[in-house]
Amino acid sequence: MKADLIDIFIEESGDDVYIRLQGTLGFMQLAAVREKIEMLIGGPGKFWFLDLEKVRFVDDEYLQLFLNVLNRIKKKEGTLVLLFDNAENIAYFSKFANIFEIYPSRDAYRRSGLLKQLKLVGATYSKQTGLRLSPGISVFLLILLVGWFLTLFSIIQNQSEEIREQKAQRMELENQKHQMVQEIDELRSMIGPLRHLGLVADSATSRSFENISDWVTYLEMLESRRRGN
Amino acid sequence: MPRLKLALLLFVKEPFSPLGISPNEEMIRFALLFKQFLEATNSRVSLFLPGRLIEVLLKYSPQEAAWMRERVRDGHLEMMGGGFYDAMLPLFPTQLQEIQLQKYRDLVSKNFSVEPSGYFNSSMAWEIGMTETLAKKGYEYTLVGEESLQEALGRSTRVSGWYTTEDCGSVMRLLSVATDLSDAISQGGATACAKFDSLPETEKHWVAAVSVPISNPELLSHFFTDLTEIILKQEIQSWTISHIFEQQFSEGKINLMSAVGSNVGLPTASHSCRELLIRRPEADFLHKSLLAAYRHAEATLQGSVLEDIQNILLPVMAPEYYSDLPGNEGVQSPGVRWKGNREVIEAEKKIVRQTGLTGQSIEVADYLMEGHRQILVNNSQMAFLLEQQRGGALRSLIYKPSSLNLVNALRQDGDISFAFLDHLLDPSLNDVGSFESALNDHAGQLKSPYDYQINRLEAQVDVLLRSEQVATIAENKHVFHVDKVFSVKWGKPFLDLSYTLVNTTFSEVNGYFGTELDLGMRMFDKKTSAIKINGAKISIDFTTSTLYSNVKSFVLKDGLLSYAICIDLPREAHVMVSPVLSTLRSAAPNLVQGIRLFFFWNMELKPQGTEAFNLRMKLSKRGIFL
Repeated sequence: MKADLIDIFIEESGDDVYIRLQGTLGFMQLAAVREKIEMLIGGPGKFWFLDLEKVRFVDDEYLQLFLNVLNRIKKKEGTLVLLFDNAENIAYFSKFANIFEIYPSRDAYRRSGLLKQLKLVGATYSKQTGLRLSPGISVFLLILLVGWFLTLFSIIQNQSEEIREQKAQRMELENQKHQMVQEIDELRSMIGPLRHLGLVADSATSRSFENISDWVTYLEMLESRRRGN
Repeated sequence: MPRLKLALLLFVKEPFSPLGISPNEEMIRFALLFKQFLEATNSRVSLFLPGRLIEVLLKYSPQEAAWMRERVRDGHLEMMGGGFYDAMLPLFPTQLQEIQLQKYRDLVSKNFSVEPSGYFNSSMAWEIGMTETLAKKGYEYTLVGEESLQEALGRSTRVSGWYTTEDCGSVMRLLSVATDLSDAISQGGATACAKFDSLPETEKHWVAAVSVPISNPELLSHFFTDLTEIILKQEIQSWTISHIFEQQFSEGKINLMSAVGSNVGLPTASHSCRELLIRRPEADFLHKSLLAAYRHAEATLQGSVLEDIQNILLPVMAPEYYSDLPGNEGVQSPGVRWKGNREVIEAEKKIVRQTGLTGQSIEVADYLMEGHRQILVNNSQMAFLLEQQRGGALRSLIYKPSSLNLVNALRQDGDISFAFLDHLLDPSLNDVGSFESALNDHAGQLKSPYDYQINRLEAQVDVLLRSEQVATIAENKHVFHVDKVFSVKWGKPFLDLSYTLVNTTFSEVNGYFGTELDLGMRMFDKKTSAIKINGAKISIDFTTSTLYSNVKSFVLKDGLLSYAICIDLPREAHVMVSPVLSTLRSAAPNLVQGIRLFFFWNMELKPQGTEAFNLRMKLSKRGIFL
């Protein structure tokens, strides 16, 4: 009765599979543990949480077993997370601490990073399948995209409104300018005969300023005028 | 002639109510009569009320409760301590013991302004392991039956006074209770007077612990009338129990490992209340279910949520769930079993809700604490405990929406009830009586241990059992290779069971292969219960067994307990329907404890031949099977 040598607990929740082992695991239990774990990971699941907190290992063969399990899960594009927080197990797995993902609990793993959180909520990418989204994350992204489009549309609407207003203002100003030019022309035509008679001096076209091309010349002219006076 | 000194403890057991109805009227009546009794006799007594009854007393008889508080202050009344639900503490983990004790202590000290120093439980069960826990909670003494002390001391003469016992560095005083005197006072009248007259003269105190019958108003009234008369007539000098420790010195030390207690239905030869769990598998299963729920809660919850779960479990520690007694006082009552299982199932459902998990799990562990493991399969609708070491039969089948354990019949032979326990029977059996005898004899049971495999599939799990089973038919032994597969869909109350039998011998086998279900049911009535075979309603006489042939579907419905079972048989089978009747002592002889269903097929297996059978079980609340 190999199967009857170990305490085991399996819980499924969506893509998560939580497996808890308990007891002292030595050479005697190795075959049973291998058989049960390999049998369980053959089933569906994406995230495999293997709780070893209440396990005491007395044989090094289990390291190889868990490496094999990790390889099999990776082949299935899954993730294996070992859960424990006791010093004895940390020491036991210390050689492969960089290979295994080790966390004290499922919550600790979930809090461990954005990428992992994304993976956990259901966004995964692979060369073969491209980006795969879970229904939950798809709905979330759809809402996000619709939100973006709505915001963009409202911005464009606002800007069009603004352009229309500016256009109207410009046309009004152009009309005003046109009218003013006409008025100026009329006024010029009215004072034209007076100018010919020499009764009106145009300050803008005054002779005293004819030779002045810059400020320095202007100041020199003022100074020479003062000395001349 | 010196006046007889009596330390009288009156205790009340909480009346069992399947629907949890509070005994308000009973407690109002008790409080009035108790007050009248104390005023009439001016006697000193000790009193133990379970926590819930104290709460009822405070709510519905506040004046009497205030009066009792005054009597406690002036020393005429002593409030004894104990478990909040009068629990049989030795059966449970220390932490649950401590919660019961602390909860009760808080209630008494808050409302009676006194810290109880004496521990009492109505079953008077004692184990030395409780010493440390009781001492830690401030208890100084406890009561044990005189016969337990006699046995520990190796004496046949009367044992009175108190002894000390120690364990793990803690000490406890054990006070002898005169059981015969207690019984005589309970009976009242001339019996009690005769008993008092027959007691030897002594300067010491006699101690009696007497149960007050609050359920029956007439009996209650008689009880207090008789007690008043006895105390006045016999000119008894009454004292509270704690007074004895001021008046008498210790009789010495004693090593009393355990006291079986009284009123728990154990024979006199028993030594410990733990024997209840051995004698009654139904009590044992409830006990283990409670422990499992407690472990699950401890492992997953914390703080106030954990306390909520513990508070659901605490009432199931009461003695009626473990006593081997009929009526509403013990596990022989279907109502008591139903309620006990219901409370634990509700606690498990709440644990799943609180943890936010789906509750879809498989656990391989020694759930029943029998030294080998069982498989507990859970989904959101149902759960079952599979004993792969005992023929791959189900020890429990829980339908969660109705909070019901269906495998719960109390068998008259004291054996364990199973579902899907397989048999291979002689082909010469030809009437219902012979089938019933064959099942009772266990001769054809296929009970060899199975090895197991768990196959996880999409939205389904298969538990595959594989074994070589040996059966004897007509004095010939036959060996079969049996594959037995339980398939459960996640989130559905469906269970598929399939068998593949291979004859591994070179001889042909003819016989009946079948599977037995001992379902725990209440007495059937035509209004709320029905059995349908192949869609046709049949009338069941629950005094005899009946055999039906060519059965393709079997439906059993109970509208009162809100469940229905439908068993579909793709290959037509025969079915024997028989009642499980109680013939236990002092129980009503025709009390229906359950229903036995035996589905079986004719089997003709050539050498190396193979046969396959299967059945599909669906559960629902109202009989609509989708």
